[in-house]
Amino acid sequence: MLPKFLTVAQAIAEVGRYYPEHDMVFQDLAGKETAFTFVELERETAVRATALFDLGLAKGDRFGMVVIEPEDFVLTFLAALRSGIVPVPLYPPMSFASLDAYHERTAKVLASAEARVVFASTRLQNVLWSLVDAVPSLERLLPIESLRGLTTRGTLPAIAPSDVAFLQYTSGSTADPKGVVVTQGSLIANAKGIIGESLHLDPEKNEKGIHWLPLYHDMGLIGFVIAPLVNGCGSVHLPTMRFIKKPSIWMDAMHRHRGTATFAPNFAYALAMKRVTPEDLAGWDLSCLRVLGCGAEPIHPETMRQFADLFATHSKLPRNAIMPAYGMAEATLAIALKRCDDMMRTVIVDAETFQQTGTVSDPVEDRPASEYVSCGAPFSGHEVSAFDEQGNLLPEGREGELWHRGPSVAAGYFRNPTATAEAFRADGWLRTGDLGFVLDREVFVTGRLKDLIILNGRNVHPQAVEWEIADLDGVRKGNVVAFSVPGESSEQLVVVLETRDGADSDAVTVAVKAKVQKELAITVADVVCLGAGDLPKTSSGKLQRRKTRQQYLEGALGAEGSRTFGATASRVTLARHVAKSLWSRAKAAVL
Amino acid sequence: MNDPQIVAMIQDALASVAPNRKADFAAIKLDQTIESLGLDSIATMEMVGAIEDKVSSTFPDEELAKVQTLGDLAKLIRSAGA
Repeated sequence: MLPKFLTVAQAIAEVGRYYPEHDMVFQDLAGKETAFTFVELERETAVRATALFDLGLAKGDRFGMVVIEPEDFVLTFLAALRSGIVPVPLYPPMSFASLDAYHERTAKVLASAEARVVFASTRLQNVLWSLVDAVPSLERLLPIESLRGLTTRGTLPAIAPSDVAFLQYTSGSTADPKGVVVTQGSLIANAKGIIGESLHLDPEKNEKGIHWLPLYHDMGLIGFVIAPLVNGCGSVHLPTMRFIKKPSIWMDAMHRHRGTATFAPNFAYALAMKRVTPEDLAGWDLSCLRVLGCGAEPIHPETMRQFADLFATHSKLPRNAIMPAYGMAEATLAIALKRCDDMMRTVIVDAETFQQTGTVSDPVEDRPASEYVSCGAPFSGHEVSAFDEQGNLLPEGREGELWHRGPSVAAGYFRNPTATAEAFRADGWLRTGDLGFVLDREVFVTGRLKDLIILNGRNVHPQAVEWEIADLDGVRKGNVVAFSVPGESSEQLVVVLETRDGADSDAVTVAVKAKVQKELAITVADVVCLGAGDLPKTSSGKLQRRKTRQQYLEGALGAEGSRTFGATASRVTLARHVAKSLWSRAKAAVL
Repeated sequence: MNDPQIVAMIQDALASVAPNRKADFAAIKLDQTIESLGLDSIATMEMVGAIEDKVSSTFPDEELAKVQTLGDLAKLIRSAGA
């Protein structure tokens, strides 16, 4: 029986005494797997922590990590957690994308964190060198591989629950990066909630988590590195890029390693279904897979039902494995999770009543209905409630901004008091910026108060897109709005802009798509060109993103409204179609 | 492998990634850029994965990072021995 660890540092040091044979397995880009037992993990992280001190770093100093291989990433990250030196995980540059925008964002984050050192994979070194000049605090860029094969082990400092574990930079705009301060104590509180109250992973049965999520993102890093480890459970880490290229490696690893739990954004389930072959399905026995978590972007219940049907029919997946999840970096990771043996629950409401009054009511025959997914109840000692714009607590079944309170809430944004004061209230409530309601204590997320765009699980700030387009030929400078609309398996990016007199809309459309693709590696699904003054603005001339989005969805954009209807007609029809089929489903009570 | 064969291989990969856009890819040329295909970053890597499967090889990341046009991709395909 494991003791209650107070810090992650303590867990790494001691977990091997209880489960010496449990391990972390790292797959490299070629598919080769290397295992570290918890005993070996203790040794390796102590040696790497010693090496960090030998570089002249001190407890509380920050260093950046741009690392591709899961093995180097995890061993170094855990070493830092034992040393009290604060790692700042950063995403690596993406293939086929321009490096300029990447450099600018990465430099801003490193400057905000006042990082002294960056560790990067050797093959990324020549791409990252210029960061040293661009970031005043940055002294050195070092290959992560230099930490391999060391043997010296020194004394490590005492680590307290209030010590900073790492900084998790979120989608904050380029100009104002926001680094969530994650403490050792909030990690322990959240890991306990995730594993102990929801997933119920049992180390005595060698139950384990397997994933391919990026390690610079909270869902992979906390959900699969920290949470299983502090609960005595093993984990398997697959490189993200291998999954994208060859989605079958995911369920294949679940089958081979007898995985118990995995998590991914909605789009990944659609991708895995699209690429799977009948031979794969017949060859896998997924009866071991109890938890199929879905989070980090809006959950489409239909995608998840299709996935469960397909894999239950052919690969023995338990149908109740689907686990909708809600969380964010500001809450360390998880805010609410379905309990593991329950079936996924959704509610179907009358769409019009809900849109106009924010009230949950039963669907009415022949009227559009909306379906929302339950993400389960918050963990013990934590609360979630919906609040109106004036900060009044709303009753169950009423939509408002979701607020969250409890020991998992992070300690604010690093050296950013303005942003911290906005989100982290003095009374302990975290303003999530998400819209939703609570019903029977369970949390339902319905949308976002903030204008954040989420594409394939990647958070994109609308300004980042708008800035790329602002100066293009033919665009009225600054008159650009970017937002997302629901797509097939993820969200889709839409850009609405005003063109200069005489500009060729087709040429502007092509230029916009090319620029966003090149700088941000994002595909624009639709570009709408309007005349001067047609974008919705406030009386002071400020662009109104939400109103523009609303008009786009209604096909009401621009002076003549109907001229943009072509682009949205199919989507509106589709929404009606889905609403209708939902109604039939509700009536037949097959949910 | 000659140019038309490589174009056909890329078209097959594109069709498997974005089946409903098959018509868009009917006239692709080796001198056009990857970004002109209008795929998002996930779909682009899916396409690369589909081609890697065909030639039973894994393209090195640092080589992929240099790929700008379909012709560059063709070079990688050829260097894989196809």
